Amino acid sequence: MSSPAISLEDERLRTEVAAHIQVLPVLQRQLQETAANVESAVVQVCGNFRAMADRAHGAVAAASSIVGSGSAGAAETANVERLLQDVRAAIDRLLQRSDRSAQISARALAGMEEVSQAAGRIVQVLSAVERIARENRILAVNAKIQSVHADSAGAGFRVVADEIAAQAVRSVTLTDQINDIVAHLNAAVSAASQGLSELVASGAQLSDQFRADAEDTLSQLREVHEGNRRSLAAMSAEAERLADDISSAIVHLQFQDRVSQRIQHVVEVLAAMEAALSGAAPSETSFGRREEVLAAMQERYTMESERTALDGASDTGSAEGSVELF
Amino acid sequence: MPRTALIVDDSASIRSMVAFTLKEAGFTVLEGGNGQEGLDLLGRAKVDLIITDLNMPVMDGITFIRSLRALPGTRFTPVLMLTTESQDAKKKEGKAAGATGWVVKPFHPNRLLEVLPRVLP
Repeated sequence: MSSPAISLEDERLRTEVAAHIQVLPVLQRQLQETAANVESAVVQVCGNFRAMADRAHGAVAAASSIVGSGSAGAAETANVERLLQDVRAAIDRLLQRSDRSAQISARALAGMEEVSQAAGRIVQVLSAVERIARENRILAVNAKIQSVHADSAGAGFRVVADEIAAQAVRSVTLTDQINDIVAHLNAAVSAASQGLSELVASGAQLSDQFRADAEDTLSQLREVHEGNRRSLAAMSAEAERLADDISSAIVHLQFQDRVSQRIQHVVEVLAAMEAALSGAAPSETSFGRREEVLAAMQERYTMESERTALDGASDTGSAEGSVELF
Repeated sequence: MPRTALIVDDSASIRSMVAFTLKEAGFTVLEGGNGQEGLDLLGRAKVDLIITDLNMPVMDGITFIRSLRALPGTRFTPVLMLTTESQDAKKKEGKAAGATGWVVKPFHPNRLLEVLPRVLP
C-alpha cells in the first residue's frame, strides 16, 4: 500500500511548488531593482568624478593663467626673469647717473676750494699793498716836514708830498673795499661748499639705500614668482594624483557591471524556472501555504522598496533620506 | 578641433565611465544604449572612434560592427570592443566582423587611453 504515501508526498510537493512559484517573479523584481539602483548610484558617482576633475582642472588652469605652466610656464618664467633684469638695468642706469652727479659735485667742491685758496692769496697781496700805502703816508709826512724846512724852495715839493699822502689814503680805502669783497666771496664759497658737501654725502647714502632696497624688492619678487611656480607644480601634481585615484576608482566600480550581468543571468534562470514550474497550478489546499510563504518573505524585509517589489509595484523611493522626529 | 567618440553599451555606468575617460582626453562623446541606437547616432554625426559592448539588447555588438562597416562613412573608423567576454572564439568573431581591437572589462582608463594613438589615424 505504498501508492497513497507517494500520492501524499506528491501533493505536499505540489503544494510547496505552488506556494513558492509566486515568489520567483518577486525575486526577479528584487534583483532587477537592486541592479538598477546600484547602476544609478555608480552613474551618480561618475558624475561626481566629472565635477571633481573639472574643479581640479579649473584650479590648475586659473593658477597657470597667472604663473604659466609647461612650455608656457617656462616662457612666463623667462618673461619674469627678463622683466627683473630690465628693472635691475634701469636701476643701475639711475644709480650710475647719481654717481656721475656725485663726481661732478666733488669736482665743483674742489673748484670752490681753489677759489677759497686764491681768495686767501689775494688777502695776503692786499695786506702787502696796505703796508706799502701806510709806508707811503709816512713817507709823505716826512717829505712834507722836509719841504717846510726848505721854506719857499720846498713849496712845490710840499704839493707833491700832499698828493702822495692823498694817494696813500685812497690805496688804503680801496684795499679795505677789496678785503670786504673777498670776505663776502669767501663766506659765499664756504656756504656753497658746505651745502654741496652735505648734498654729496646724503646723495651717496640715498644711492646706497636705494640700491639695497631695490635689490631686496627684486629678490622678493623672484621669491614670490618661484613660490607661485612651486604652488602650481604642487597643485598640478595633486590634480594628477586625483586623476589616478579616479582612474583606480573607475576600475573598481566596474564590479557593478559584472554583478549586473550576473544578476541578469540569475533573473533569466528564475524566469525559466517560473515558466517550467507554472504547470504546478495551485490547489485549494495550497492557498494557506502560499500565504505563509509570502508572510515569511515579508517578515524578512526591512525596506519599503522590498515590500513594494513584493506587491509588484515599482519602487518610488520616497522614504529614502527622509527624517522623522518623534 | 576635438575628436568625437561614440560609446555603445547597455550599461549606463560603463558609458559614464568610458565617457569620463575620453572627455579627460579631450574627446566629445556620444552615447547609445545598443547597436541600433549607435547606428542612428552614426547617421547624424561623424565620429573618429567607436567603443562598443558585445552583449546588448535590440542589436548586439557584432551585428552593430557588421552594419557600420557597410556604411561608407565608417568603413575605416576604429572600433574597439569593450566587453567582459574574453573567449578566443568571440574575439575571432569580433575581428571577422571588423573590430579594430578588443578590451576586456574592467578597463583601466590609462590603459584605454594608451591604446588610442595606436588605432586612431
